[in-house]
Amino acid sequence: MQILSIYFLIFLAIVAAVNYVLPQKIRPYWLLIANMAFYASYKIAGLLVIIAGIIISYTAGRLIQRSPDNKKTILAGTILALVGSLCYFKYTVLLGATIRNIQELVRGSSDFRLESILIPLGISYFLLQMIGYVVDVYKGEVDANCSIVNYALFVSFFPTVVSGPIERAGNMIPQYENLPGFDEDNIRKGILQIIWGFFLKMIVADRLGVIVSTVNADPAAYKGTVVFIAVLMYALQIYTDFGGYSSIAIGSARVLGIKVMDNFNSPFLSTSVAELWRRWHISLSTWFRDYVYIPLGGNRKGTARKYLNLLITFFVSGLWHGAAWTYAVWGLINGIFQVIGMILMPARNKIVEVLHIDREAFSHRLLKTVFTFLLFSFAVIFFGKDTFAQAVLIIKNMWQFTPWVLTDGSLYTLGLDRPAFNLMLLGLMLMVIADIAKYRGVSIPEVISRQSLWIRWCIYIGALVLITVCGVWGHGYDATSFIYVQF
Amino acid sequence: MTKNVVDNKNNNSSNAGKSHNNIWIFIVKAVALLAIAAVVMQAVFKVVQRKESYEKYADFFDIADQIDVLYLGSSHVINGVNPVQIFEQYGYTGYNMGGHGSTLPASYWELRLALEYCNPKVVFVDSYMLEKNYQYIDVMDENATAADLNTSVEQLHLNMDCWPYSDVKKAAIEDLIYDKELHQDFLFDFELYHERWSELDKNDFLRLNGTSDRNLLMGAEKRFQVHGTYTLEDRTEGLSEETVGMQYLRKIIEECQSRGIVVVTMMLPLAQLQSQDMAAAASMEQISAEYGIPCLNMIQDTSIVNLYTDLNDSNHLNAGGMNRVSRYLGQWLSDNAGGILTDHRGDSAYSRWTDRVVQSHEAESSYVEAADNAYSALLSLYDETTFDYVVYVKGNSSAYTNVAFLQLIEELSGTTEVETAAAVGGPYLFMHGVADGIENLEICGDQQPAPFSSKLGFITYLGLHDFAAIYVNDDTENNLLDMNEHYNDDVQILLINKDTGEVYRHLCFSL
Repeated sequence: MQILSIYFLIFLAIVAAVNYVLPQKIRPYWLLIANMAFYASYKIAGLLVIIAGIIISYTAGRLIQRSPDNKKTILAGTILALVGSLCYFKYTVLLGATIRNIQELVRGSSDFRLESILIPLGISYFLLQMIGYVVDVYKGEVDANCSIVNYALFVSFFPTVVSGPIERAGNMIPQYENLPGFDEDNIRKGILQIIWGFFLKMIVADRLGVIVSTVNADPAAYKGTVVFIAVLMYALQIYTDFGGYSSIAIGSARVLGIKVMDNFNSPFLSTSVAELWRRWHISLSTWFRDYVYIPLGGNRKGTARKYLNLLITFFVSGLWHGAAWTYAVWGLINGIFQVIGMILMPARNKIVEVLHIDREAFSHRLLKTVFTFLLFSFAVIFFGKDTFAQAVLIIKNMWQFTPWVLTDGSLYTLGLDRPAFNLMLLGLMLMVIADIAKYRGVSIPEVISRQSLWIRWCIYIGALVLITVCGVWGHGYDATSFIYVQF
Repeated sequence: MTKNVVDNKNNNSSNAGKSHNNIWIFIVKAVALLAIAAVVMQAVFKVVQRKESYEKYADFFDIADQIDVLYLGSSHVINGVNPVQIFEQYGYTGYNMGGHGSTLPASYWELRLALEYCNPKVVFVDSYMLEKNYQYIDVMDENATAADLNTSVEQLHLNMDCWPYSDVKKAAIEDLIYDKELHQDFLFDFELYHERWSELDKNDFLRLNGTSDRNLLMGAEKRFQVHGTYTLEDRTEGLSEETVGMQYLRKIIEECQSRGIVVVTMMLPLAQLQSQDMAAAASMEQISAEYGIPCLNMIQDTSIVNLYTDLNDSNHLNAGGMNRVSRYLGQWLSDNAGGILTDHRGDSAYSRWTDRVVQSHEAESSYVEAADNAYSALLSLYDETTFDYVVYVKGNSSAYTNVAFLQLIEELSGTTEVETAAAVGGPYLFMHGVADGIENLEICGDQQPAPFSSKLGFITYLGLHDFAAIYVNDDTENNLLDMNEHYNDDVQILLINKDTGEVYRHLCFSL
């Protein structure tokens, strides 16, 4: 069952309806059944992996709490097992390809092959949750004496199991222990968030994707500003695609009365790469901060070590995204940007001081925001590319200044006709408005849910019409095409 | 502490009660919202739906219970049978169910779907493509290209989109389309047509109040090109094997017979015959004989159509051909099924049919105005009722050596006088309804006849090999023929308003 489908919405409606009708005590069991059914609908074999992971990590948590003397060993063993399984399922192919490439480099040829058996859906996400849980128990931040049902709910919660947000046991398990009753406000806001997610994905992201795919499919054929625009669009596509998915996931959870952490907070309004990463894929960024960067020493062991820790964290984070070295380089570039930013901080401050630049001036902030977006977009060139050669070709081709493509209709030859292109721009404008509102602390769902019934209904029905009519879907459309689902 | 616990319990219970009430109010509101959303989406489905299928069958759904005759087949039937003309001339109500590219399996399912709505007394089935030995139109045979398959699927939409979802429609799609993913496009076509959002026009929205365009010929379409040549084939044996097409022709016959419907097989005229066409026609005759049903093989019957002038292209009849074939079928019905069919002319309950007759005549004047070549223009004049007209063919024109062109003139004039003009290299003038007291006036070769009275006034005609003039009331300053800008054009046509006697349009064509 794809999350971007009418079946998912029907499934969600049934699960929510039954959930609110059932007595409080039974609800966790019902939700667990729903979670397992949802997961099994993808691939039943994957269900065994997630169940095994639940049992291992839950048992480890209990053992850590029960045997403080052995907790380090248990923690290490569990992390090893969980990371090992992630490597086995996700990185076997990468390992095989790397060995093959090295052999080819040394010997000239290689018949080395390593094939993965299966990649359980969402493994990158639920394994991080499991690891986070075990570490939190180890640190005494979470009580391992919760029921296995509630723990299983935390790991396999169907709105988030496929692609996050990567939640923390401390936030989620208490909610499952006391599942909330029916609350119309929750449902209203949840539905609005789901609608927004569908809008971002089907109206904006998938249209951006058409242009990006056209250029990526034949990078040698495109040069100049078209490529530059496609690069910017790719960054926007990833945001609207994953932001759309996250909205649907968070909204679905909200419909069930569960509050899941936000995953994006107007990232493209950030004025530095570091800030952008605090606003981008927040659940993952904070996970890596808490479970990789800080354990590595964070910023507690001197400047050089801090830079190294940052680079390691972003390198691993890049590799987490995909089993290809291009992802690792993407992560590394983001780390390097931040390190450079920190190194240049004194010089930048000096320039600001000498030139009497008002740091809070709109023009200054706008400049920094645009520059940050450009840096992020540059790094993203490596994201999802099969080979470095592809990325390098795009970087080579994007600098030729051919601004006439903005006026001579060239942009309408990249897979979108004029109306579709304009609709995409309109969608992007709406996205920017929504992000600015969020940045300023205005919650649009909150504003809408305060409106009178007929306005809300007009919005619901208008959105339904817009998404079903203008959305990219139908025969030939791949509903699994969320960029982050593949991770 | 105990008090707090009690308070909490009370709060919980009161919250539970409140929550319970909220649920029911919420459910009522949700149901209302879903109902409104369903109505809105229904309207949206109608707006974005591609309109061709709806337009073709709009009248069918309105008056299905009045239909006595169905005409099944491919585009040959769409362009070959005019139910409105048959109603006008014989009073029999019928609907043209032909579909572009419809094979016999597609025609079978078209019949099954139609029978859900109407109870015809007679069904004609065109057997073109009887030799096709495939069932799935998205697979076809080994010679099919991707473009062929795409066109084939597109064409099926024309005949399928209009039918609401039903078990029969589902069975039809499963029987005709192999690719299961394509089934959804037919059974829930919003999935396909929502992409039309960027091309919606006024007509799409008029669908909401039922005033969007619709086919005014009960499913038929007229074509106005003239193919001009034809080849004939000798009769042959039937097809060498039992094809899928033959199996489905049998199914059509059996379905009709099981319901007591008179079924008639037919093969409409073709200009460029292929050997398989003759074999298919022979097989059709054999199957018809086998079932003891009438068979109308018109494939190269020159007694019914003029193969020079009546074909739009190698396969499809034009308006002239449609006229003749429709008259032929109407006469056949009158002669052979008059006992079971009723002449509904004059019956007020059948006013839709009468309206369509009037509208079809009203539309005829626009055909000649829209003509983009001399052949189409002459063809359009066959049924012209709004205007009188003058046709001038210049001297030494290549038109005089063009058999199809000459035959078109002959069809118009009802004489072979144009051949006299051709023999001397023209010029040729034909006036219909213009000259006083003479319905059709023809003047051939170099001539300057005595001035004569007409609707336009007193006409002086001067016809020379290299010049011609029509002056009215001795006004030699104004030649009704254009001997300047259009001097080199082969044909000039003047449309004369019947009521005012004024020249309405002046059309000029090169061959």
